[in-house]
Amino acid sequence: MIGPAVLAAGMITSPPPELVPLPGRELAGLKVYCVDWVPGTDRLRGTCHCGAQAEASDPARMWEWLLAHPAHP
Amino acid sequence: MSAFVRNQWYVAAYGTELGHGLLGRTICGEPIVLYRTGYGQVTALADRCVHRRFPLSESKLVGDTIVCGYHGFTYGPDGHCVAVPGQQRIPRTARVAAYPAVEQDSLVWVWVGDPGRADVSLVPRAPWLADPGYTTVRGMEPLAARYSLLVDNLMDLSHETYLHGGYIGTPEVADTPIRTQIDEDNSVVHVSRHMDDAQCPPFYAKSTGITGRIVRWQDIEYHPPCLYLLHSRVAPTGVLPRPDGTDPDGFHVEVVYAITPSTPDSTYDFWAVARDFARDDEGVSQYLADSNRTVVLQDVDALNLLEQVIAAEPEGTQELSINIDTGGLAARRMLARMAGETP
Repeated sequence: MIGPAVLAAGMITSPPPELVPLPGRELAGLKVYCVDWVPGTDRLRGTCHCGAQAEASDPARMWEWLLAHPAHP
Repeated sequence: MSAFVRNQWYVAAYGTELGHGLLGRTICGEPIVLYRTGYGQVTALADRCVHRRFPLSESKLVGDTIVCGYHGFTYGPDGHCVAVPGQQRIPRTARVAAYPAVEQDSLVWVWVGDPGRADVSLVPRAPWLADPGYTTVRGMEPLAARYSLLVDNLMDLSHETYLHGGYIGTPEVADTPIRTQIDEDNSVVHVSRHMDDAQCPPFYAKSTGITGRIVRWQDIEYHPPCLYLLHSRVAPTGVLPRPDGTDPDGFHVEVVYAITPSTPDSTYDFWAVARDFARDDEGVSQYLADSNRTVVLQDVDALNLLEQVIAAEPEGTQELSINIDTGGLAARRMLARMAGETP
């Protein structure tokens, strides 16, 4: 799990506009986890299929947080 | 070292490799002999005679039966022994395992796990390889490395910039942020890298004729453990698919890899490049075949070296992951889950 200190600065409550699906590559499955490398930064933004989002700078911890569903906020 | 994921379909050969002869391949540690019957059916049997363990792949195909090259034990396509030398009675246990096998999209898939779980509807698809609308070049290179190293390699294409510069790599590949998605319902990992204004590497410049900068999209679709698809689109900068979804001005290349574990430290690296342009141009076919084989061999050299390094290190030696590894880590997690390990 990503600790609270890591998440505190990066928590997002509403999806930013750039997180719309890429054209032509919408995924068929309903249970999709997404990690975007935020353009212009070194940050990763994770979005769970339940809508929860978080940012982190380490991909391993990002997946740990996402795949802990539904334990994340 | 990762355990084999046995209850999955693996590519054992190209359909074109199976004429009316015997082909030996080791899949997930299982020696298998492959052949095609007179009716065209692909057959996969355990590659060891039950008598003295002689490889059946080094034996003789007579009609639809294999006659062991050592003492003549003879097996039918179902693996049952139909003749033994010098006696009438065939021992009840004289049979070799027959593996479920399917030929689809020009690939021969086998199942080495529990036969009762072999569902042919779950064989992943690579339809371009058998589509008359595409022209395909292909090959297979043996890799002296564990299969997970090839998965890591293919899931992070930023290595193209450094390992394959001058062929398929340009600076933009490593510099462009990626989107990674895990589709849990369908057990697929997607990695997308869309470059809006990039150098055109020779691989695409010489095959498409584009002379300037390009839009280059790389959309990876990995179906663990075996099938890796790279949907590649290139076009002159600014040229995008039309609003209705058609894309007559784009050049499309479907790069297909089948990553088949052979032994714990060796892998079959099947590769194919299917294109929807210059389909009848033999020169383009030869160029793409030579170039892609060169690129694959660059990977093979690097991964063979990496295998030696990793094999000499203690288990669990620390490594470091950064943003470019997001897709590779997702693939590792899915493979670990399939293998029944804790991710």
